[in-house]
Formats: sequence, C-alpha cells, structure tokens
Amino acid sequence: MSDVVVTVRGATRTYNEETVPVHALRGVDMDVHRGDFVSLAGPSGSGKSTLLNLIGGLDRANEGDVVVDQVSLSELNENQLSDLRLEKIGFVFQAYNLLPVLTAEENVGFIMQLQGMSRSERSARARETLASVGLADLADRRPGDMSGGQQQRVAIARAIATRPVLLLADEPSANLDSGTTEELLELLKELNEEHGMTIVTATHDPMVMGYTSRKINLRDGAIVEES
Amino acid sequence: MTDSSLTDTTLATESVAPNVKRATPELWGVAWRNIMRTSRRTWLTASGIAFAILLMSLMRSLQVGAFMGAVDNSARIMLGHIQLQHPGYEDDPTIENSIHGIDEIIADVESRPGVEVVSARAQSFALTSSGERSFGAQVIGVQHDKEVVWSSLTRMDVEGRYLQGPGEAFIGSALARNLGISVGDEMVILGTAIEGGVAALVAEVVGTYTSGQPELDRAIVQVSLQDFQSAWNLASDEAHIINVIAESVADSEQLAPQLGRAHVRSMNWRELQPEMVQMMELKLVGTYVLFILVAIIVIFSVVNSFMMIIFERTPEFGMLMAIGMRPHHIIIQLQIEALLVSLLGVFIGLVIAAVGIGILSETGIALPAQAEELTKSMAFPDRMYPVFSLSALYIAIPVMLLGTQFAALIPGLRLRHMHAVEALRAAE
Ligand SMILES: Nc1ncnc2c1ncn2[C@@H]1O[C@H](COP(=O)(O)OP(=O)(O)OP(=O)(O)O)[C@@H](O)[C@H]1O
Ligand SMILES: [Mg+2]
Repeated sequence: MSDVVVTVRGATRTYNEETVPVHALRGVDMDVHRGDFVSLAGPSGSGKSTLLNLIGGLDRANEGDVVVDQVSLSELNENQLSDLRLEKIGFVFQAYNLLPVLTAEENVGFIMQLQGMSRSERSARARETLASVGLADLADRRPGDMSGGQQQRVAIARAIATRPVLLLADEPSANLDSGTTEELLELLKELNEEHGMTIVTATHDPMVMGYTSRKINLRDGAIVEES
Repeated sequence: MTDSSLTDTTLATESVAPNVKRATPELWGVAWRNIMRTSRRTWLTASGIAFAILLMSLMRSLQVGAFMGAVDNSARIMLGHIQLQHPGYEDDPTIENSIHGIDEIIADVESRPGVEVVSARAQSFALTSSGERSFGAQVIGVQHDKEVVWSSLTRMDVEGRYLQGPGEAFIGSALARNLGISVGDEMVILGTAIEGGVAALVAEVVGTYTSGQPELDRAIVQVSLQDFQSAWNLASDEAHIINVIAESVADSEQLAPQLGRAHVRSMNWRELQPEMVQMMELKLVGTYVLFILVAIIVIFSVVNSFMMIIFERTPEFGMLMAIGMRPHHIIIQLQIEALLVSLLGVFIGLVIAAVGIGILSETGIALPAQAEELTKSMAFPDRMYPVFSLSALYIAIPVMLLGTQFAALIPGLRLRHMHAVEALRAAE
C-alpha cells in the first residue's frame, strides 16, 4: 500500500481560455503523504483554492494529472468524481458547510446517509464524532443556533465521520476570531497527530501555518517555496 | 510527466472508479423542513394555488347549484325528474308504444325512498277545435289529483281552475285565444285512436294557464286520464309516461337506474333536459378558461418563487454536490418541495371551499335583480343553493399539481449543468 495519498504532476488550470486567459495554476507538482498536515499559503489569487479543488476532484486540470489514493482523476467522469468525493474525501469550506434545516447530528450523518448507512448506525457514529470534536451536547441543535466555531466543528465532524483518506479545508477559519481559530487548529492537529488524518488546508492566516507540518507557498499559480 | 512515481500510480489505477455504495438521499423530510424554513414564501405560493382551487370549486359549485335549481324547477313544471316509458316511445311516440300495468309500477316506485310523487300520463297529438277554428295540440290524459300535487303548470297564472274530473279540459292561454274560447266554453278534440280508430272527445274548458313559454301555452290540452283512455281505446292500466318526482335532483340520480324494468325504460333528467346538460357543459368550458388564466398566473409566480429559492440556495447546492450528492437528487429535492407546497395549497383551497360551500348550501344565495330575466325564461329559481362539485376539480387539482412541478423544473434544470465550485463561488 502506497504511502502517497495525493500526487499532482504538471497541473495547469487556466480560466477563460478563449477570452482573457487567467492562469490560476501553471504546472504545479506536489505530493501529499499519508499523515501529512499541509498548508497551502499565498496571497489572494495565487491559486490555493484552485489547487485544493483539483485535489478534491471538484475541478479538472487543463493539463497534467492528479492522482488521489491511486486513482487518476483525469480518467474519471463527473459521476465517478462525485463518487470519489463521497467515498474518499472530506471537505470543509469557509461557509455554507451545513444544511440549516438539519440538526448537527443530521448534518454529520448526511454523507453516511448518501453512502447507505442505516439510520441507527449513522446516528451512533455521528454522535460519537460530534463528541470527538467536543460538541456532544449540541447534537440536536441546528446550525443557526450555534456559533461560527461550533458550526465549523460540525463541518469537520461531518467530513471525518466517514473516515476519508483525505481532509481538505479551504480557509476553514476565515470567518472565525483568533481564539476560535486556535481551538479549531488544535482540533485539526489532534486529528492529524492522534488519528493520522491527512489534511490539506488553504489559508492566508499565519496562525494556521504555524500549526501545520508542511507549508507550501504559492504565487501566481506556482509553488515558490516549501518548508 | 517524467516522474516515474506518477507512472507507477497511474498503472495502479486499472479499476478507476471508486466502488461506492450509494443510497437515494432521504429527501422528503429535508424538503418539508426547507419549505417550512421559508414559511412566508411557502404560504404565499400555497395561497396562490389555494386561490385557484377555491375559485374553481366556488364557481363550479355556484354553477352546478344554479343549474340543479333550474333542473329541479323545470322538472317540476311538466317533465318530472324521471320518466318511465315504453322503450320505443322516445323515438317513435305513437299511441301503440305504451306501457301496461301502470298501477303496480306506480305503487312500486312510490314505495321507494327518495320518491315524492308518481303519476301517469297518456298522450297523443290531436286536432282541437271550437266552431270554425282548429289547431293541432298535444292532448295529455293526466291523473289530475296527483298531477296537481307536483306540476307547477297547474298553478301558472291560472284563469278558472285545474281539472277535477272527467269531461273537463285545462289548456294553454295561447291555444284558448287561438281557438277563441275561454273558461266555461266547450272544445272538441279529434285524434287517431289505437288500431286506427277515431278518438273523439268533447270537454269543457275549466281553466287556462300562462307559463310564458310559448310552446307550452300554445299547444297543450290536459284532460283526465280516464277520458283519454276511453276516447283513444286504451286499457285502464295503460299509459305512455310515468312521471317520477323525487325529493331532489340528486335523489333522482340515484333512483333513475333502479326504476327500469321489462318493457319499461327509465329516463333520467339528463335525457329529459338535454339542453340543460349542454348549457352546463358550455358554462364549464368558460369556467375552465378563467381557471386556466388564473392557473397560468399562479404558475408564473411559482416559477418566480423557485428562481428565488435556487438563487438563495446555490451555495448550499454547491456544498451538497461537493460532498457527493448528485445534481439530479438536488433537482428531485426541489420537485418534492414544489409538490409539498402545491399539496398544501390544494388542501387549503379545498378546506376553505368545502366550509364555504357547506355554509352557502344551507343558507342559499339570493340572485341579483339582473338575473330576473334568466330566472323567468330558464326556470332558474330566485335563490341559489351551491352544490359542492368535485367534477371541476378532477382537472383543476392535477393542473395545479403538475403546473407547480413544471414551474419548479424550469429553473431547477439549470442545476443539471452546475458545478460545485461555481455554485459555492456564487455566494461571493
Ligand atoms: N471560476 C473562475 N473563473 C475565472 N477565474 C477564476 C475562477 N476561479 C478562480 N479564478 C481566478 O484564478 C486565480 C486563482 O484563484 P483562486 O481562487 O485559486 O485563488 P486563492 O489563492 O484561493 O485566492 P483567495 O485567497 O482569494 O481565496 C484568481 O486570479 C482567480 O480570479
Ligand atoms: Mg481561495
């Protein structure tokens, strides 16, 4: 079993090819290994989200390839990409992570429901996962009745409840104050260190970079530095 | 693409797609909560649908109520709610196409629940004359003691009185004028009796009526059934028509199919008053035209409302697609939301209609003065009792339900080609 979870080779992504081309990514190479905690940093517009979306199978490279858990994404059609996301990848976005009409538990159970898990099993797993992110008491609350930090925790719980091979987080702390951001980062770090969860996160925030084991700096769609 | 590790991993991807077990998402509960979340919009949309349903049921109930009143009125002038005839009489109303054993039939029909009165008539076309003048008329032998109970013709602007026994005639005022006779005068009636014999009858005019309907006032002579039977050589249990008066038109609809028997055909009010059926159908077309106009407006507002919903929830849909929900499931989810809203609307519309019509059908509605003409000429009653009519809703309900589905689908189909990333970015 390979130790490499993500391989990106020569990934190029250009928007508006016909009119004024925007080169969001210009030939990026990178690997993510099992157990990595990677931050993608760089100024706004440097291509962080674009790269994260390619890795997550939400978008396609114009050139080059992305391989996730030994599956070459360029060979998958839309439905297969959708299946791959459902099965292997956990997503946490900056906002709109949760369905406002569902409780925390139901939100966490949502992907498991799509995967066909029985009601009792997913309820148990959702509660257990909520407890592991410190929200045992809020299982029956709806997102509207939770703080921003709590909502992001629920989103993380949903993303990890199905045990994905990879957790992708695009600016997960952008809407949070620094105290709450720190708590969230502690949680991600714990997931990474104690449960071996592979995490890639895009961020502006120097505080985030301080927590990750690898930092990749992007500028104008290319990797300029890695540490 | 020179790095060998890529080649290795690519080679390892023979079975490309992940092997995912997928379940249909549980959409109903989420759909219900979604429509309740935007409850103001839901209620607005639902009340548009409710209005269309209410309008359709109210209009139709008023129409059916008015027509049923008219049918009843008209039945009680001369026709009766149900007629029993020889099977061939309708097409060939000759004197020979009669029914026998009328006393037993009448006794049997009268014993049935929902029946008010039953009476028999024998009738034939004949020449009526007085002095030099002669006119053709329908001569009807009636069971006058029963006829007077139900037939309003016997009370219409009567000069003199109605029949009380043999030797008497009760005739339309126009016929009396044509013949130049009035109450107290004698008239001679000549016809063709059974087997070609001559039927002759002399009767004293005891009363004339004026119904306002020329065909009734000009050409009808009523005499007693016994006089008719003896002049036309009929047996004493023989007649051409048995008129059945039910307690209501609705009762008569139940009764009519049960009353036929060997050599006797039962005709319901639809067969007796085909012009009324035609008018009702014509009115229904008009009602549908109005309904379709309202439905189109309502459906446009549903399209609008779903465009708003999709606009507002695009980032949410993006997130759902990102985590692995298929676009068509999101479309189905919206269709279910549309269905729930339309069912809510239909339900509200029906409840209000049922309650409203229920009350009105007890109290009745006074017809406006302009309707007086109609009241007279078409035998419409002056007070109308709406009748809850499902018939119009058989089309109205499916139109609203399907229209709403269609209305939601128009904006919903855009989601088919939407990508998760675009949808998520829509919030920015
Ligand atoms: N759908 C799109 N259509 C056109 N241009 C796009 C699209 N998505 C991204 N871009 C452009 O591609 C470049 C990279 O965008 P990307 O979102 O990856 O940057 P980012 O590093 O995530 O920035 P931020 O920190 O602001 O989130 C930008 O110039 C952006 O304007
Ligand atoms: Mg970004």
